[in-house]
Amino acid sequence: MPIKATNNYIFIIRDEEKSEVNGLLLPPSGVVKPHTGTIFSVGGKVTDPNIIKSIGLTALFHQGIGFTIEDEGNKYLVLQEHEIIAIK
Amino acid sequence: MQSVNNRIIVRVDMAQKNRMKIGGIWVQSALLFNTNYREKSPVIAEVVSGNDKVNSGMFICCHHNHFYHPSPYFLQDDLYSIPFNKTIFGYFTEDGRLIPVCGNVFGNRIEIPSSIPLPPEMVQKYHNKMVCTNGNDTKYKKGEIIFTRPNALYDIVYNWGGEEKVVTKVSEDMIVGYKPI
Repeated sequence: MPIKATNNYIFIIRDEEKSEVNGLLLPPSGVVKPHTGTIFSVGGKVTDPNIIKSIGLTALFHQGIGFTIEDEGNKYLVLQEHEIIAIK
Repeated sequence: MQSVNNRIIVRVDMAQKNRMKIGGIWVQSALLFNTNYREKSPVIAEVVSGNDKVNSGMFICCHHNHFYHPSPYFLQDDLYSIPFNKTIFGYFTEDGRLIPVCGNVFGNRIEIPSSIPLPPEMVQKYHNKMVCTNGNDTKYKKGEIIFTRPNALYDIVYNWGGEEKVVTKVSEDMIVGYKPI
């Protein structure tokens, strides 16, 4: 069974980091973590109707927020409802 | 004396508030523990006036903050009127088990897998993941893997008639996700 979010938390699979720009390889210190990802699971206490029906869509969030959990080798970024700033 | 406003009245021996005799068996909660992430100084109290979940005569394990003087929860002698919320971790059964109440969930920590065999003192455990052993009044069932905010897990260590027992506790509002069976 897949992992499920609860309370007002949202699981996001973060987009892959770009280690190359215009053919130039970036060193690890120069790689910026993307602040977009795919919404994987939405908790039952999330109130925003747009977020509730957004599983599979791309979410935009600020840099450096949330924390990561790991299950069977997959990493999920955990955010609260108010930490998502837009959905694409 | 009758409890009101979602409170319960408990009796606590302030001289030794981590120790209580239940059915002829001494129960003592650990004040000090050699690893971090333990619940500090949990108090064992006898319920004088309870509610539908915690009945009078039961023995509960709760947070120590209510029992420092001057305490707004103090009634008289050794009686306290404490709110019935997540600061009450659970109640003791006659066979020494601790059953969670008020949205607390008990479980066992999960070891971080290692590619080589490790001695017991080197084995590390996840700080945000546990296997549920007793969810009681919550939606979490025995055997489900529960994911929490970082370092939200706390150990309650107690001694039941000479036998040391440990349960790992997390409050329901600190749970971020779960894996159904």
